[in-house]
Amino acid sequence: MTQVLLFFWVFSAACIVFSRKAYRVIIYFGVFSLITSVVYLALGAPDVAMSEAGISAFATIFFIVCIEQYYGRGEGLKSEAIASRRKIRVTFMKFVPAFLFTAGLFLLFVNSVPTGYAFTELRDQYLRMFMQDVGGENAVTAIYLGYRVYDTLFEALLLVIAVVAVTHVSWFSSEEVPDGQHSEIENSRMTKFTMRIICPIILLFGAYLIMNGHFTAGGGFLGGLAFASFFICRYLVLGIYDLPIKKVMKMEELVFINITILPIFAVFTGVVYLVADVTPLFQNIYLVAMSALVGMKVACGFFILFYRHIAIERLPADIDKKE
Amino acid sequence: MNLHIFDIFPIILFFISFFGLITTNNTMKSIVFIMLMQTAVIMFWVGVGARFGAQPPIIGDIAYLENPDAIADPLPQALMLTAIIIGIAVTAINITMLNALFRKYKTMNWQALQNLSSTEVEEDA
Amino acid sequence: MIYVISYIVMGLGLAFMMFGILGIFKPGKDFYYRILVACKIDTVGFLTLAIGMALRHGFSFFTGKLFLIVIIMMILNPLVSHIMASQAHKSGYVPSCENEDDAS
Repeated sequence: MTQVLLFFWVFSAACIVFSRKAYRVIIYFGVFSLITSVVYLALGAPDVAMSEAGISAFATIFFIVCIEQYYGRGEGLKSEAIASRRKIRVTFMKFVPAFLFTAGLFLLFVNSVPTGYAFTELRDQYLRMFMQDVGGENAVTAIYLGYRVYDTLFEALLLVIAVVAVTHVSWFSSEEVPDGQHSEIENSRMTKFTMRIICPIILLFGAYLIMNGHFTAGGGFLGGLAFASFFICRYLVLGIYDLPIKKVMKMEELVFINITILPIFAVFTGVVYLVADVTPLFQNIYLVAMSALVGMKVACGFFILFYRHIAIERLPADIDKKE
Repeated sequence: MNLHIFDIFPIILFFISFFGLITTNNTMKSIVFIMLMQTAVIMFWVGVGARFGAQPPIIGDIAYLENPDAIADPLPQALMLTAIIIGIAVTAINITMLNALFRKYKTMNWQALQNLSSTEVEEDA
Repeated sequence: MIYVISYIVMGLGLAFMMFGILGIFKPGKDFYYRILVACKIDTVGFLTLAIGMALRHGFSFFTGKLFLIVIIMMILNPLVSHIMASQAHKSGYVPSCENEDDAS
């Protein structure tokens, strides 16, 4: 059973690698992400599985936005097929040395990798101590908000850097969309009505994930993804984007400063795990506050990334040239 | 060869996507393959601490700790959770750079791009 | 007794899914046919499976959560198919003539 699942996992990846059309690459990538999250769930990692499932949606949107400029919106698919047929002979000559190189590296790797239960002592230590040290019942949340909180800081810093880099690398120089370029999406009345009911449920789900992150699977990252998907649903279905992107970026930086300050106060004043007689109330307050901050951070970051891709990268080329 | 049967699949995936990376011309496909390689590495690290059918590390009672081998290792999961988010941010930057490149040169084929840029350099010199 | 009924219902859901997948891969059909069949897998197959699971588990907190998921899925899955089909229609997709002959 397990080998069948893993075989399909590798098979879908092989479908991605050996398919020629770019649209098929994206569709196979969705299938691959689905199977990946099922495998994570079978491995006992529900947090990782949920974040992979959320990530795949964003990745699909990014790739589709990228491909839309190349092939136009629904046109030009046939010319691509003809061009790829011509290329087959040229690329075939590269396959043989590439295959030999890859096979050699693979054999080298397989013979030298140590595997198995690598960190047994550390795992036992963490599992035994995390409920007194950090609190909560989810060991994953306890580790990334308690023992290894500076890794989370580093991750938040990288997300800030990514957002700044996306705004500065982009071909479009200004940060605001020019007037008259607002959403051209037209959905039916049924869609709009239903999504008006469903969108608050998504918001509620995000709040649930953040508040219960230390008891069940969930936490800041997944709650942030759910919040970002709320704004994305609002944009995609109802055509609203009233969030000013500059203010969201300011807010993201402020939240990042808070993320750096809160663990310093909490850890060095002994609220979390340096003092023996800590009441679990303070621990839970720290965990929920930290989850909420991380969630706001991730929501702001992903909203800006999505907004840049869907509203600015798709603009026609003659609107603004970068100086 | 002291590999468990599970661990060989992420390594196969890593080298399949590596193979795709060195044989493709399309830069967008390269970005997809980089994402695949990253997924393979993440799967390898999640698989280091757990086997199929392991319990998630959500422990309500201390009595569950009698058999810790049945519980998945929480440390790689917590590290990989951040790695996934960083990976999608990196992908977003890659795609934005590719967009800027495509707006300027009107091609996604990186070999053609290389030829274009080398001729440009010669003209400048 | 209730276990037998629940297994029968779950088997029914699996059968729906199997016929749906056969329908998706049926050659010579156009996009609208396939999206109809895919919507059937999503809605009917998932609903029957979920009801079978609820029967098997008995009445508890878990069943309440399952019914919440069922209600949301019942709203969302047909909506997704509707959006896909209507956007395909708007972007100018026309099924080819040979498929119409095939259907009659």
